[in-house]
Amino acid sequence: MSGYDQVPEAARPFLGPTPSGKPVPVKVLRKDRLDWKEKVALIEIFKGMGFTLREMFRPRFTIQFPEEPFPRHPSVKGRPVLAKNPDGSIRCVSCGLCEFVCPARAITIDPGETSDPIQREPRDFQIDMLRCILCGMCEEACPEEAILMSDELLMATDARPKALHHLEDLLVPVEKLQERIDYTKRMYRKWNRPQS
Amino acid sequence: MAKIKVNGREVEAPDGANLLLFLNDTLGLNIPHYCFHPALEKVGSCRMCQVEFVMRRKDPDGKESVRRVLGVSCRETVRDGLEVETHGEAARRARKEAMEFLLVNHPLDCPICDKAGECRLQDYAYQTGQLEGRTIEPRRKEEKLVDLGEVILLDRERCILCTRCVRFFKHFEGRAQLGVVERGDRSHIAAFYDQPLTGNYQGNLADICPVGALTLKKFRFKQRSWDLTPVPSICPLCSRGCNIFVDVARHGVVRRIRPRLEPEVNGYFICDQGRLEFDDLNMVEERLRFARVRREGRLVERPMEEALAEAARLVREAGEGLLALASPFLTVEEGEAFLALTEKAGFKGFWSPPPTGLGDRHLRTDDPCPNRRGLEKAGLQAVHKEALAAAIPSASLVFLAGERILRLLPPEVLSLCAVKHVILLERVLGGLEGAVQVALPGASWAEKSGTFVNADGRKQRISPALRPPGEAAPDGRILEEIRRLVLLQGSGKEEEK
Repeated sequence: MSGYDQVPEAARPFLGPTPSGKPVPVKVLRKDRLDWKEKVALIEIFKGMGFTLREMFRPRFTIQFPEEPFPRHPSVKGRPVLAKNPDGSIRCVSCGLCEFVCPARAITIDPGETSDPIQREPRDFQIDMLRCILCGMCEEACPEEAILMSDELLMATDARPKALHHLEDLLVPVEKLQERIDYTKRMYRKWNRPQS
Repeated sequence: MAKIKVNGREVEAPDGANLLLFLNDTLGLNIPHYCFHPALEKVGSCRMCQVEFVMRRKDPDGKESVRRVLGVSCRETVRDGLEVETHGEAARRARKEAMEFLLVNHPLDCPICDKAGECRLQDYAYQTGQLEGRTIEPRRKEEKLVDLGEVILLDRERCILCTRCVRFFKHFEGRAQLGVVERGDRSHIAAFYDQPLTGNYQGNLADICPVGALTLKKFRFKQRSWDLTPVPSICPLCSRGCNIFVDVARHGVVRRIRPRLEPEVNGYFICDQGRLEFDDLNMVEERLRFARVRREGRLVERPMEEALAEAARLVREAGEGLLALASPFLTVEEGEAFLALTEKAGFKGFWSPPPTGLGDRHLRTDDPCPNRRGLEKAGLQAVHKEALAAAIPSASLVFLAGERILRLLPPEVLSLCAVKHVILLERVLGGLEGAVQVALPGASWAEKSGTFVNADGRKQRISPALRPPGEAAPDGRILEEIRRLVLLQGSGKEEEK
């Protein structure tokens, strides 16, 4: 038995000539002639025109991105940002867990004391957006709900230094992030349920 | 050797050994403990090392009765016939309850605590698995920031009153400085009369504190402990040669130096100078990153090869007129390379700084040379100020090699050098810019490997923790390269470049 015989019958035409050199007879299975309705084609044209006419009076749902904002579900993971409390204080205590967990090593924290010397806060907090892969692990590791994935998706820049986001670029009022906080609270509780 | 029974299995243990140490270090049972420290007196106050002692007794009528008693293992010595259950139901429960009491008032500070990651309380809390407290009362509020002198800060909320710090001063230094004041739930650690701590060993408190109550001011909020890579090395600040870990952060910055256990040299502790004086390892701006050569009267940065060839030419031409002075910071291997390079020199040796007077009866010695015995054994002579001052004026070329040589030499000697031609192998240029013909960028002790021989003649290895910046290289490599070029040039086979 040659290898040719092991191929299923239906697939043999694709193999080319048989080992014996004789071409395999080819049988075309689809219809190769048009009937009269298809030959005229006008019916199809009017069908298409009718569809176009109907669509012209429907409401438009194209969004003029990026000028026009579009609604995003809180599960969207955009640029990571730091939450700022209503009194202006930074939530982050620079514990370094996000820095440690970050698989792309995008985060660098320079910790320092606050005006109250028993508390710490970042003196600088750098996220290299060229390195960040928006995985959200920093958000999951954060014990203070301080670093959160925002819904900002426009991160392109025209210069490398601009891709390094510093503390002042990252601070966002916490009210703007409330939806995401609620969402992560719900979801992480569900996913990270204690094993016991 | 005594025969004891641990968890139903017979084992041999050295007679008179500490039971907890034997269980943990020899059998690897990992029984938690806070107040116990091998170098300190045992008090058994934290109750975390409780195990169950099984006592068997034959009654007069021949029946055997068994009594099981819970007790701390840290105060028990190994003796024949001892029988313990370490992980039975009762022992586990006793330890878990002790743990829960310790955690009742412990603040949830871990994200901002410098001890997090190397904290025994954190480790055992995860081990016992009870991650949520059962108390509904508010946690006790205490002073969070008590200044205990120049080195140490105390956080009374985090303290679990193991009294290791109190015993450290009492037994290691022999002079108590801390104590537990008040009683019951009001007891807390305080310095006597609230005076700042003194002495050269305060930094060890941060190491022996099993929680984050005593922390180093210098390390405060600098780096999380899990971001540090410990590199085993030897402290170069005196001739004791204490074993240390150099803790390096991710970006190649030394953040902390802490003791490494070596019973024959330093035990569990190091002095504060060795612990805190590492800032010059992180020096960036002053640092000589590339070789410099004098061209048309000005020192200019040139490639390393050119500087090495220039240095070799100067050394060869100077011949007997060469005065070669090594730093006491050179390793044994570098001392040998230095000696081989300067075999024709009219005057050579290593600089021997005068005693610092900082020595004490514990670890610190008066001699600031980390490798005096090693360099002497390699064949280099110790050079003192008078001999050096007499020799410099007659020399035609001065070769200064090694870390900190410019800082260690007295200013009068440096001013004598300033009118000579100088080859400098150092990390900085400081002070001799006008005289230096060739400046070669050397490395610090934390950037090279080699051997130091301490005051007792013990050979110990240092290992590189950092990478030298730019074209800087370990001194030994540079010395050997110059010697190779001297030999090449001398044999007339000068490299064509």
